[in-house]
Amino acid sequence: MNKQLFLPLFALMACNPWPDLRDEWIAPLWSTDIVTLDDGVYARLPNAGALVRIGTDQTWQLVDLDGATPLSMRADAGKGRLLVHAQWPVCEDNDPSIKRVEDCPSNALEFNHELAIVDNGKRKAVASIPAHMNAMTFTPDGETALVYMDSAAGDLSVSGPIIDLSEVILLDIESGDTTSVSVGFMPNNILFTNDGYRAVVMSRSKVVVLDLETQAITVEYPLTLDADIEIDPSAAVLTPDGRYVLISIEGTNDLYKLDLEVVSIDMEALDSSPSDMSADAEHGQTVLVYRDRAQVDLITEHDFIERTSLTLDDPATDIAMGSGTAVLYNSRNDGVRDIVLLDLSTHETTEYVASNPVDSLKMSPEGDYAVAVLKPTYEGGTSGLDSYQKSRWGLAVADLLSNDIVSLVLESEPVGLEMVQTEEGAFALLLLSDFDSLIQVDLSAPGNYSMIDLPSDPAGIDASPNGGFTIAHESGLGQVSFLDPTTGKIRTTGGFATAGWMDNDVLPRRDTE
Amino acid sequence: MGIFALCTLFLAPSLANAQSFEVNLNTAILGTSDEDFDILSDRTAMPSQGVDLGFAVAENLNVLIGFHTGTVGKVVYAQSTDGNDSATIAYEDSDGYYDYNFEDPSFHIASTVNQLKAGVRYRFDWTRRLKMTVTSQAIFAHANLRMDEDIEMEGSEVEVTYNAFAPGFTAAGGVEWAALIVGESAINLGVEAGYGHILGFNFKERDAAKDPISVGSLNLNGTFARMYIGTRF
Repeated sequence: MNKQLFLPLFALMACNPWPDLRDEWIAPLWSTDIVTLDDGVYARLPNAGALVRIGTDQTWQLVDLDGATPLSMRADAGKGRLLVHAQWPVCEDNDPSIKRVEDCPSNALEFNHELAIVDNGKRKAVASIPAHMNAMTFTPDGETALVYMDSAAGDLSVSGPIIDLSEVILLDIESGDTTSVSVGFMPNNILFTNDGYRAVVMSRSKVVVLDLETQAITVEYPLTLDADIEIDPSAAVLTPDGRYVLISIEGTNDLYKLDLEVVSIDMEALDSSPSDMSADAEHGQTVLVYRDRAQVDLITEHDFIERTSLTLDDPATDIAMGSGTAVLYNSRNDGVRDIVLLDLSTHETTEYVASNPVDSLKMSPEGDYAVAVLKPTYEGGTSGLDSYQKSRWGLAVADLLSNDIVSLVLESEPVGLEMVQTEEGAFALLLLSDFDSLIQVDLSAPGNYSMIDLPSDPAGIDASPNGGFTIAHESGLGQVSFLDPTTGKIRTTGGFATAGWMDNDVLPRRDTE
Repeated sequence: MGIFALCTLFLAPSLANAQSFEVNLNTAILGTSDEDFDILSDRTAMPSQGVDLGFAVAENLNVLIGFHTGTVGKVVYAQSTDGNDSATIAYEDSDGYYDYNFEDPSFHIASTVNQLKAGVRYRFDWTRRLKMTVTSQAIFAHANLRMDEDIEMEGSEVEVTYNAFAPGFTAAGGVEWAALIVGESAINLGVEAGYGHILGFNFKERDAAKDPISVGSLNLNGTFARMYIGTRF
């Protein structure tokens, strides 16, 4: 037989019929910025333009947003409802053959925005709030949200034909009803009075008091009488008695004291501009720290501003309030490693020195420990173990009762830190990048830790209202784990990010437009 | 070896006086205009391979029954951790060169389409060795869509599989050349082109919730072409 007759067969077999297995890059199927509510965990699916509610035991379902794509979301004050900024495409071309987004001419395509209120997996109400209103504060009763545009929050892409940059929107979370109030240019901080009936809204060169029942401005405090001068509040605090609002101003040493009962403004000259202020309700004091001064001030009398200054070894920029104590630390200067415990009754300070500068700090639930994430530094002149420790991320546990501090070296950068208090004591739950275990640190003996295996590398952790925790994983297809801290048991759900991924982008609400 | 044995068997002289049966090994492609197919393959066509068995029901008219299968797939990188909803396909390194971000979460995606085909092929005699063919087949197809974050690891990573069924058809014309004729048997090489259409595969997640959740659809329809080598005896 002529063997050449088999050549075509070989040629046929040489054709590559198998997957080419080339690489493809796509927008993320899901966002690991999850929100955990009573009824489940919510995650955005940017590629599918969808919102998914994830339960335990491999269950999940899409939340019907009527075709809108969720852009951002957050829980309400009680972690019972989800507030979702969403957008949907509108094609102005009424050609009935246009069914999909890509079929619509670009000059006829625009996007509308809304804020959807999701309760128990269902869209219960919708408010017409554009996506650039990116900041939200809840009234003490949790039933109203004050929504405003935070210029410091990054994305400033605004939408709509007319933009009011002085606007605050009062949103009824139950009904979705909104009321818009112009409070002043770039509102940036909102406080509530102790009775919960009034909101104090700070903006450029102006502070207003908003009556939450009438939804009207009742008092207006100009921070300057010269319209050419722009004054931007940098920090604000309501005094423990609820009568005064103290406002620090960026770039000046002036402390404004706004009297909410007898409408008036007083000014106090400080030694510098405070970087943080906190109220101590237990002792009726206000604590102030400064970025550029190694000093902590305590305002012990607010009617006529009586101030006690304590000297520190190094400046502190942040305050974490405990029970009768304040913990001061510096998160902005890599040269400072001090953590200072301030006893608010005796005004005594205790200094703890961590191995590395502090990146962030959390207090344990009962206030007995301060747990700080330490960031690496790249100082010259160190060697050996000293250099090893300084060049790595760390975790410092300061025992606020015994004045001890332990600085641990971490294998990689922390991606999540939560505190939990059980019958056995206080624990820190720590997640590290590229490390597929949850580390449970016993705060009473930080060197003693245990690990819980995770199905894959973690991306973040979120506390659940029921006392559990949800861990988002570095997973392209979507994966979250539910941790019961009392038993250490973990249940995982994965694969939810594929929902709707390969569906066509059909124009929603087309028939009703 | 199996293919050699099969071909040798087919070359054996037939007891029949006419070519009553045929067996063909096929490789084919079915085009698609589905944009989502880009996720699975850079080509705009689904390849398949298979075998057709036929028997004569009239002069020059054979009934064909066949099974074809084909797989496409890719490695997909998807961002998920930096809060940015857009894909960073490439980044510029410190030397000014662009590199791909292989640190993004990734997964393998693949789809296998299995087709059961039944139809007829009519041959027009052109010369003793060369014939023109017209083939039409109905299709009952099964497709699975598989995604796996670590195809070398069992169980610990996310792995999902979705299945769907859809009917379809192909219609094609071409030429067939008898490369070797021994008595009443022949080894043939054939090429056909035409149109193929399989209704959309609608993949659904059925276990996660009470109501099925749509994952998406895959549509195969467009130019159809195939090559085959086979025998008639």
